[in-house]
Amino acid sequence: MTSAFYRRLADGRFEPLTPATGSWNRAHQNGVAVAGLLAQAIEAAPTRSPMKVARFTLDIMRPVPFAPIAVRITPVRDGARMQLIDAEIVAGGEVVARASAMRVRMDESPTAEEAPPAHPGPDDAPPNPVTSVLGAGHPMETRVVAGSIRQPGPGAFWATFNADVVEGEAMCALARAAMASDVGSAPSSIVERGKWSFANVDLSLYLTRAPVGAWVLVDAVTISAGAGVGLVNSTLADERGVFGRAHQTLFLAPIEAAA
Amino acid sequence: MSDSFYTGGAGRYFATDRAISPWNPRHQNGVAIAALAAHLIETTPTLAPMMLARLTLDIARPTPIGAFDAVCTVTREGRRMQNLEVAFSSGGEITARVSALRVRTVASPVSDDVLVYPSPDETPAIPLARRDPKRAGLETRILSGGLTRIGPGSGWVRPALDILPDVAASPLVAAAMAADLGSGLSSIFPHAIWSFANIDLAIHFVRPPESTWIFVDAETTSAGDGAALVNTVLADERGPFARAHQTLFVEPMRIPSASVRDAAMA
Repeated sequence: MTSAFYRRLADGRFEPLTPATGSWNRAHQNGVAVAGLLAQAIEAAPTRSPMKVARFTLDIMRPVPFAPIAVRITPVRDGARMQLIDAEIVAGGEVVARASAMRVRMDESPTAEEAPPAHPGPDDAPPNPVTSVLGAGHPMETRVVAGSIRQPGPGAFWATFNADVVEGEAMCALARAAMASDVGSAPSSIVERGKWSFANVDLSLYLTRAPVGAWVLVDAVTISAGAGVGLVNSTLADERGVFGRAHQTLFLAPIEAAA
Repeated sequence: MSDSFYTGGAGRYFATDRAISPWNPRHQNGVAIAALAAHLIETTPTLAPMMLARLTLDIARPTPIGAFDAVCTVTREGRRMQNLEVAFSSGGEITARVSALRVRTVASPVSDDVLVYPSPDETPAIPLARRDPKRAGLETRILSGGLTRIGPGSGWVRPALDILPDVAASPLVAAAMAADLGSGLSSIFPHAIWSFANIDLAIHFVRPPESTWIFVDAETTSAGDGAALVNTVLADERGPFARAHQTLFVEPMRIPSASVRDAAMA
């Protein structure tokens, strides 16, 4: 399997590679790849002072076609204290996905850190992937430490990446956190597999700091009031402790029988 | 005459002195901005019955007290989902921006969120700020935490002002207003020494709130790098209905303004 999700083309566009293939539809790109590409584009954009990403919000407005795509970066507010920046994927002349990020200058202030979740570390976790799609050889390696995709209810997993988002370009910490968070809906699913689809239509990350190390823990719970919409609440941690939260809005729809 | 945050309509509004920020008397507070944004979203039609799933408010610059523009645009229309944007601007510059996502409703499996808390009637009527019991247009009943107590906080919040003349806050607007209070309820910063204004506010809804009494359960966390993150659960009398977050810009207080001093000593 290829060692990247995208290849940068000579015209600046990004060509999706096999790992970017859609999990619900092969003519589309998957959310993990899209989240990684836009996170990577935001981290690469310059800031006027040293900053960290405090929030990352991704709206998937239309399916992203499995074809070369352009990423457009627009700073909405580019200050020395904070930066609000958009990264959009344009396909067929239309914005199909839009990420926005809030970056904040770094300075010293009081600390209030959360206790780490009580799960085994990545080295002590069995090599059980979240889904068979992420099986042996896939560039996203996952190890489930709680719950299971076959059993409805909360789930948690460690994730790491044995590939670049963009071929030959170092993967940034935000991309790692965003891509891992996009899988939170799978181990915490509340619906019967094969009967309901639960694609996420957005992804939001709220970060106290960038994750450190190669592994990210996603501890996820899906809740729903039963109105065709689900909400995934994920706690994000690394081997040092909790570094943020993530949410996904799920579009719950019955899968029509093949017959 | 009604007492409201704003007057005006159809894109052009005027912020009254009831919308003044606790951090700076020339600027609007986040509660009022969140209220108007939620109102504009709620009154925009959809092609099918939908619920608000997410509202993300970015405060790019201060929005002044007085005249300003606020316009709600549908950025992606559809029968399955709708993306909206609300742009606040003053002097031709964007001051705040909201992105929102609404999703069509249909019957599906239920999985409830759980939180244990007393009803508003069982909660003592202790306001967030004693000198200004309807601070930021909100009636508050604080159960724990608060402006002068360090650590997590919770309490019931209800709008005490209209958004516009004769336009009362709906349950959805009340939720947006209440969410902005998470940072004040759960501060980890000695109030007279640090300023910790929020520069964004995001709310993720599981269902629409059923009443204007909103229970706010908040905790502030920080890696000690000049910013902080507030994690909030919003509930009504039936149970939790949303999660909210705020990013706080943390810096030593410069010369405290009178209103900030008042808030700190309240």
